[in-house]
Amino acid sequence: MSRLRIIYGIFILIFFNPTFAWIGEIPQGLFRPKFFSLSNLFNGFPSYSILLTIEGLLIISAFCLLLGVKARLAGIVFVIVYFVGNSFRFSFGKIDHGEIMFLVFILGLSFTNWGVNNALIPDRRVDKSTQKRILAILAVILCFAMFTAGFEKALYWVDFDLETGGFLRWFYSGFFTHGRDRLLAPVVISLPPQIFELADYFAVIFELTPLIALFAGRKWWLIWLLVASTFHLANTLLLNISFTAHAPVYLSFVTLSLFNLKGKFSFLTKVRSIYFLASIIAVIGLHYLLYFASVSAVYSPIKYATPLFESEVELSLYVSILIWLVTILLMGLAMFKEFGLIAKEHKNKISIH
Amino acid sequence: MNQYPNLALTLGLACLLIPPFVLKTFHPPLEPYPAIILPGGSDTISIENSTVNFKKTTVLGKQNNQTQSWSKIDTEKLIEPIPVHYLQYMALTSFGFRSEPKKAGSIWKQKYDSFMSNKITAEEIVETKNWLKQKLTKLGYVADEFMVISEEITFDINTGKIVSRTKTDEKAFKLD
Repeated sequence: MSRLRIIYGIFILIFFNPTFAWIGEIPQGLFRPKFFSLSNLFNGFPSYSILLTIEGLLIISAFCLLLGVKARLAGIVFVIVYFVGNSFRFSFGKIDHGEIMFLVFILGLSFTNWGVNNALIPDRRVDKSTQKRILAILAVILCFAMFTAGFEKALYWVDFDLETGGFLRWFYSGFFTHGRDRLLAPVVISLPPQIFELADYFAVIFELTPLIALFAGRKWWLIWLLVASTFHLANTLLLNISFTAHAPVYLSFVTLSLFNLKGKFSFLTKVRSIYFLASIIAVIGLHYLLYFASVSAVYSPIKYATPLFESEVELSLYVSILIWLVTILLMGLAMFKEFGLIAKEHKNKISIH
Repeated sequence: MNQYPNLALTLGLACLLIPPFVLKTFHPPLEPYPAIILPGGSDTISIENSTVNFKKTTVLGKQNNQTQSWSKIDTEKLIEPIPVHYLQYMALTSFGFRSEPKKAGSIWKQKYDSFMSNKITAEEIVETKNWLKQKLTKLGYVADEFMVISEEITFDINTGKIVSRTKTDEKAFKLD
């Protein structure tokens, strides 16, 4: 579990985008919070300095998560603070759904033993049965989340009518209105639209079956997770919608003991407190330096490789492809192991039967 | 309940998961946050042989030159740093320019509308207009107005060209 925590920590610090300070520069007249939202208790957007403080808290807690400094508390703080920031980010009339599972999983996994090993200040250990229960609950929550996406689609997309298209609605609105015309998107236009009726049915089946896969056993659950990862890779290529925050979520169910990494992260426990404090300050300093130096208020550290690519959007799509390919690889290896196609022969060596 | 921990857990989970989804399904403006909900996006488009019909939202501005002709504005640059996919939702609420709730038939609907809508002050409306004016000027457009139009587009896949555009809605926003 500690490896999973480290993956989540790295993912937050490099690929995630905990930036909220830009909201402080928006006119208050655009403040339209949802009724059932924390931000509806306020009269307007918070000030720039408050939102900057929220960002600072997120970076500190993400760093604590990565290094295992009271990871349980760090995870809970990260999620609560992020929810507060998001409630203001979603006060323009729309709620985005790409990060909710990532945050829910951090919250749930905070109550497991992921902060016990490979940690600078380890958490108190919980029972293995408690840990298993938490993972089971998270799996059920993931299944329900998928159901919320698939239910409406089932009502309108499964119509056996080649003269309507659900996948294509996502595609054309994205292509012509939101500039999602990169990677394999032009290929969609060159194909007969009727063939994408299959995509409509596949999406509905995929989103409504995870609970069946979960109850059918671990093998089927891993198959569903592999299909899910492939689904997101396809969406990245065809629709330019990446949903990369789901990659660590799916990996939460994969044992990362495929490779013998025992002892590889033990250096973390040898770092002295003063170095840890200095590195926290350095990361926060770098974060704000990059923020103030960036031409756009919304950034991530990956953005600084932009000169190599046509645009920031293109860069983020290629990074998403890489993330999903790695996720598919790890998921595939886990599946092969579950089906007995892979066994460890020697320490640090894996062979395929 | 202590004798039946699984029952308590199941009921607790059900209370956490189901009500937000029900709210969103039957009345999307009441979707709560945070809630365990993933994007449905169940709308469809119509397909006729090799043409597809879909909706598109465009923002137009008057070019700051002699002709002052209307042309498409780069919406990402217009509203940045706000994410571009929020634009249509901001346009639905008229960018906050409409500060009074709509009048409705029954007293309960009026109370509900008043409760749901935010009271935006006149100063805040002016602030928003000034912000948009600065953006339009920076992008080379006349700062006194812009339009948000919704179109029904017919696209021919064989030729790769738009065959027809039909305006379905048009909202003009005066900034002076």
